[in-house]
Amino acid sequence: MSEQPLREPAFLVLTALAGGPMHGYALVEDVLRLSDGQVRLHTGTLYGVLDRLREAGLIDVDREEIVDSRLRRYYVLTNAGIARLAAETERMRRNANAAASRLRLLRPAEGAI
Amino acid sequence: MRRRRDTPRTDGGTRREPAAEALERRYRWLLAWYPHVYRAANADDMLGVALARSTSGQRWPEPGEAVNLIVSGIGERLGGMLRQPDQRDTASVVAIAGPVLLAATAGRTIAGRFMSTPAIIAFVTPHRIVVTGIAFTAWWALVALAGMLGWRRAAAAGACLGLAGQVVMLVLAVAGYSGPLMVSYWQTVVALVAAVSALGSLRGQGRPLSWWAITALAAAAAILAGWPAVEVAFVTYTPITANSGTISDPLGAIAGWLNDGLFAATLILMLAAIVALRPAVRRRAVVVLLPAFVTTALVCWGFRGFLPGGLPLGLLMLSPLQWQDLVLVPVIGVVACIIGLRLYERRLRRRAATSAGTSRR
Repeated sequence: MSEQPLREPAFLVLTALAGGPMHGYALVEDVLRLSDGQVRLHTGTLYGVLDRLREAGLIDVDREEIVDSRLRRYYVLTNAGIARLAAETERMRRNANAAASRLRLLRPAEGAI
Repeated sequence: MRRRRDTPRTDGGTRREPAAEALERRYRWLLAWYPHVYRAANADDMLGVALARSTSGQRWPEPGEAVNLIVSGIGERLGGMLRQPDQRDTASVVAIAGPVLLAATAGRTIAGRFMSTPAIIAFVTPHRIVVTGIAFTAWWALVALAGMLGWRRAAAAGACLGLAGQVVMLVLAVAGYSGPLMVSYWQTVVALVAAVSALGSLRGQGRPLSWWAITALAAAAAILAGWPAVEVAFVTYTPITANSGTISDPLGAIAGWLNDGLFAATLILMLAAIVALRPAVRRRAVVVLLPAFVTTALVCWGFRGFLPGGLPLGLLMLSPLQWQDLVLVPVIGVVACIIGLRLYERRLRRRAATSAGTSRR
């Protein structure tokens, strides 16, 4: 997991947690907001992502609360998670810059046609 | 968990279960697809998220959410199984035993050729069956060797390709171009088990079997492969003479004994290989091997007149009831063995907990 690029749900969960500790439903809502309504995580997918991120040491449990007689768990980004998110963001920025510069070269040609 | 949707009322009518309760009950049912340990740790939290996503008055989970929970739960169960070293090691053992068995059975179709006359060869084993027999024997032997040496990726890739080959043979058998359908059918099943096991053992480490167990397994496979050669040798070289209208067969009397002796030797060698495994892996290996043995016994002795392998009698058609047995017996056998294994291991855990409590006191 440390070498391969993060998948979109994992990247968005890390991005959401960069805003501070969150519980499961808050993460679903924040990921939806961050992705402009494009990524709505199902419960099974969310917990699969959270498990993998915890196994990789990128997030951890911040605290647990009892709400409506049910346990609610808050997740927090670890230092490794912060570093990984920063590295992933930089990688995506480089790719986006490369794509943008190629598109700039392409546009004048399109205009000529 | 199991509450009625409509609760009886004292005035004779029925009270409809509130939507929130109905939805929670249904989500709990969906969460039951996850393993017990996972549920104990996460079910409350997950239920909170699932309920928070629902709209007011919603009684049923959204179809997408329901499918996602079921698929994720099954994935977690399978992933959990493969994370356990015992399961992984068992998968490694089955990933070797399966290809060894397939190499041996493919070898059976060609073994008789070296002990027979050309006329009998042409009758017993057509040329194309001999060629595919050689190819499959070599292929599965290489897959088994890769597994024995602990080259798990190569073994998994080889097992998947071998499975594809067996599926082709099954299709050809159904179309009537290849050997007996029943042989192709069970070879495909064994190849499927071997491929799944090889994929499941990818994260394992080290050599899964001791050299002693490998030797015993290889010897058992060699006997299994060479068996038809002995059978054909009797057909070829037994002097049959007509005497007052009856046919005498002087070597026929020991043929049965030799067959039984070879079968017993195979069985003893296989048992020796199983005994060499560590107890937790041995128990799991038995879950796969015992139903396979029972099914083989059923085919050899239960289906009257049927001879396994590429011999002419192998072309005998099976009745629908025999086909049904051939599918049901291994499935029921595996399920029964899994239940037995879980009960036995639960008893072991209880015993260990009791002894630990006693020693603390």
